[in-house]
Amino acid sequence: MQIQVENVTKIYAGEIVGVKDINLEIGNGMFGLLGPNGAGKTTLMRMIATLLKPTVGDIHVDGHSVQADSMAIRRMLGYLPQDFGVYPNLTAREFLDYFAILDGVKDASKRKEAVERASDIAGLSAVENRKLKTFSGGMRQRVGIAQAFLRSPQLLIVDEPTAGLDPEERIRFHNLLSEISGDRLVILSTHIVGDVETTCNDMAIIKNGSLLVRSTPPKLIERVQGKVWEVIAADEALEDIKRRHRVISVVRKVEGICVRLLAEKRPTENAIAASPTLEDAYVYFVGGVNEHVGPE
Amino acid sequence: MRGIVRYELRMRWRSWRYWIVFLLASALALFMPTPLNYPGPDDAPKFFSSWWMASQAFSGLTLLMTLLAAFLVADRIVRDTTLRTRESIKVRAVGEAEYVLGKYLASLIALALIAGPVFVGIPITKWVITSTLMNLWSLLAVFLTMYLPPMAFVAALALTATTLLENPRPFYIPFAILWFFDSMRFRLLNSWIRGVFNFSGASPFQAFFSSVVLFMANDPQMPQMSPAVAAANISFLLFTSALLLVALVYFEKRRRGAWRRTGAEGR
Repeated sequence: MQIQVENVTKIYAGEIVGVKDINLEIGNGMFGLLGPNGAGKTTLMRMIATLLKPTVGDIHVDGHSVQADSMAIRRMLGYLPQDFGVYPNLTAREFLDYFAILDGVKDASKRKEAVERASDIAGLSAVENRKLKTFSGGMRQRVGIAQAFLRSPQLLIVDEPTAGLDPEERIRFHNLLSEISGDRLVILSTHIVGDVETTCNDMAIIKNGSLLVRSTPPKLIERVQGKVWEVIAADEALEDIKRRHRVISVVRKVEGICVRLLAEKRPTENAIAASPTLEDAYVYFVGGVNEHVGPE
Repeated sequence: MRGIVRYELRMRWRSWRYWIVFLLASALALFMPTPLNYPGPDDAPKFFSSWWMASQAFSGLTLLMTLLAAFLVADRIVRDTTLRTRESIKVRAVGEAEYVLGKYLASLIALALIAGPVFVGIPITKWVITSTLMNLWSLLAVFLTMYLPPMAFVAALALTATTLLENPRPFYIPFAILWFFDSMRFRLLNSWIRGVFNFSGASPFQAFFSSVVLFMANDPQMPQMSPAVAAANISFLLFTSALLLVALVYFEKRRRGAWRRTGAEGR
């Protein structure tokens, strides 16, 4: 499975630019698309999922164009939208059976098989006869994964899947995605750095509709090596630090305020070099928590 | 399409709103041709006529249901957006025509089933009152000509209008006004234009059924209606329903295209 995004631009009504001139090649495995809210992630996901057509350029999924051959792509696609909803009066099993019907699976025994397999993958077997209105947010996301898996897709797109989930559900969801990725292509679109860090072997960062960086999480972390520092500062010094450096986090400790920041060289004498994380790299590339900093 | 119909019906049956309408409509339909509504001893001969009982039951049911059906059906497509299932459905293989017709047929079957108690209750009532069997053909004929065509029309109108408006609420009040003027002309169908262009079920009632019941046929206050006008009325309702559904499928296809072009749902 291979996706080629070629010079893709999407312009909405009112000349609002969704994404501009994106070029990307994605192969099998877990691919993370990271970016702040409104960066254009969902636009790109929807274009790959054949829900939107690019204004300029084309996307090929295993050689099929989204412009010309969207049905062929749909046959190999599983999609969990950002805003996934369910029919509250149906049970999980009924809901999946209904969606299998909408997929065009007419044979009841084949449908049953597909529903059981999808329920199994998403860990819904024990609760499949419960009505969906009784499901928690995490359980509903599982139903979302199950419906995306009804066709055993080679391409799975999940858009902001962990938004609103509690930490335990998030971990469970990460594990589930890692388990099912196997020889598939799974695209995870999110603004939560931790989601990509724990699950993806390949990633890209997008902002204001443009691709900022394309790399693997370890390589991205490597690129900010030596640029992440921790400083213990007094309350009154905090504003000055914020003005001069890009601050990633501020944590109050017994000995003072621990400021984690980005700087090309040691910002103060008492600054300690910190080992960078993907979140540091993300802030470095995207522009950061306090973007308007003065010259270092 | 059978699968879509089956699940849409299942969801319908699991909704309390459907059962409230079902009970209300059944109560009214069963009340109309019974001694509860005609308590005087002089009215007893009425109950000997199966045609009279059937047309009375269905005139009440049709009058009520042409209003309530719109409210029951209105959100069937729009709710896929409000429940946020629409995007997951759009990436599936199902075509717009199959999707729309599945929703429509399920709505129509649900509305037809509301007449179910009439088919059981009226023959029992007749047996209890007169110890005679009901002519079941009368019930079926009245159901097919007086009840079903207006339901087909109202369901198509409600589905199309609310999908175009993308919200059922702006549809309710204008439709209720339309229903009020249409149904209040029940006794005033004195021109062929009114006879053809109405969805109250009054045209087939007057043309086909009041004429076969002796005391109704002799009632000078009962407006005369020719079977041709009633047939034209039924044709108008069915043809308009089909036209509305074609328009709805076209609109859904166009909207998918427009949505793709403009991405109306944002980034």
